[in-house]
Amino acid sequence: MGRITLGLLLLASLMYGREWRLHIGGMHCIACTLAVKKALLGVHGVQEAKVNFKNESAYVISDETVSLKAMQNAVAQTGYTAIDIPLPDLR
Amino acid sequence: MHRREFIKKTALSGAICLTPSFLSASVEIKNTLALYDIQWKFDLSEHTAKECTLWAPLPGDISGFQNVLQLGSSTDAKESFQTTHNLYKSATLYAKWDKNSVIKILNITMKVALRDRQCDFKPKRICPDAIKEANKFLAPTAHIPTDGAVAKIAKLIIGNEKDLLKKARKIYDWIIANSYRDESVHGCGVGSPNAMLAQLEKEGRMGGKCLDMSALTVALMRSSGLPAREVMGIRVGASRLSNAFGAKEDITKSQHCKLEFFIPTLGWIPCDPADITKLVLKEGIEKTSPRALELADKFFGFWENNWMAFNHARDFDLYPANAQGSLDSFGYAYGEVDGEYLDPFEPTHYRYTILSKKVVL
Repeated sequence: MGRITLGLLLLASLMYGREWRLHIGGMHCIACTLAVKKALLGVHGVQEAKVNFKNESAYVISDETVSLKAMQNAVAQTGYTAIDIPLPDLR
Repeated sequence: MHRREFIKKTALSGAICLTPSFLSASVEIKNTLALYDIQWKFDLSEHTAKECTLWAPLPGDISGFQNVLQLGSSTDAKESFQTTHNLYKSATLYAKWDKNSVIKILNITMKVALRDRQCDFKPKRICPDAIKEANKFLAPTAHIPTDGAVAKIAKLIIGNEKDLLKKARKIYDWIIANSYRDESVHGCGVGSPNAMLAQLEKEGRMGGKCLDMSALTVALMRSSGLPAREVMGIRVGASRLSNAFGAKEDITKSQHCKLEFFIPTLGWIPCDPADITKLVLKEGIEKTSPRALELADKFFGFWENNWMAFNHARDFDLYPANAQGSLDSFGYAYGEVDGEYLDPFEPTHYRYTILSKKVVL
């Protein structure tokens, strides 16, 4: 019974992941988006990452295990910065 | 027939007027005509249920050096057209496929005639409009700074030299002396003069590829009062001078950036310091060897007829507008999938090939 509950919780966390919108600093050309995207996708639990040079932003979908700090560290290792921009409350 | 057509077009363009955008210095036209059939094939079909857009740089005519005899395309794209509607009037082929397109293919074919471009350094009359147009290439851009470290190094190189041609030669020689070709760099490099100078300060020399060296040369020249610009292009065939400067039939990864600078009494003068560093690496010779020195001297005022120019665009906006914003250079095709950037240095990712075949005359 306990195993089933744990399994359901894990499934729920995967299904009901969260969205992030990050401000990415330090990109000097469009090719930088590739490095930032690769860094974000390298974080365990990040499912999708879209990076835009013009808006200096990244849109990320992750599961609940991902922390802002983990993404910031990954992005920082490639020479850029990431700051969380709160998503508008659409409810 | 093609030869006759080329000669006719060349004579005509010379008779009308030299256009300011590619006005060349007194060009000695030799009988070094080469004709190439080029096929560029794109296949974005793997991006199913996604909107794909593509901007491909196209060659244009350059009086006395390059003539596009034929240019055609076939595609199943929802929308496609040629345009020069951008800051640098760079010829572009635009194609857009919607999400529902199953097959996303674009084929471009062209027949291009090329001649050696050899500057004879003889003074000529240049019209004021051409000088005014050239002077636009004194201004800095996002990736071509003319102040700070660039200005400081330019002053060190130039010293008290006042002669414009001698200034240009000093900068050209300095680039060759202080840089080396780094094969680990992606594509043609990023073309950031400040990054190159930071590396010089740290390591005592600068590694990079053609865009890196050309961009730094351009920045140093502009900072010294010489209009200058990179010229993006591609090697389309074998070189008579060295294998280092040539390409085989598959030219998918043969993009190469050269540069030209402007002197009001001579016009635009081509040069290519980056290829000398490539020669040194590929032939395993010293920069001070007679062969390297001889070719360095030749490449100050020379382009060979196995290289085709696209444009001199840097830090500009594409038309129609893309999702990612200003492009820093346009030597490679630029693509987006659902607004995301497609890496042009990974042609296998979006499957494109460029093939070039020399036509026997």
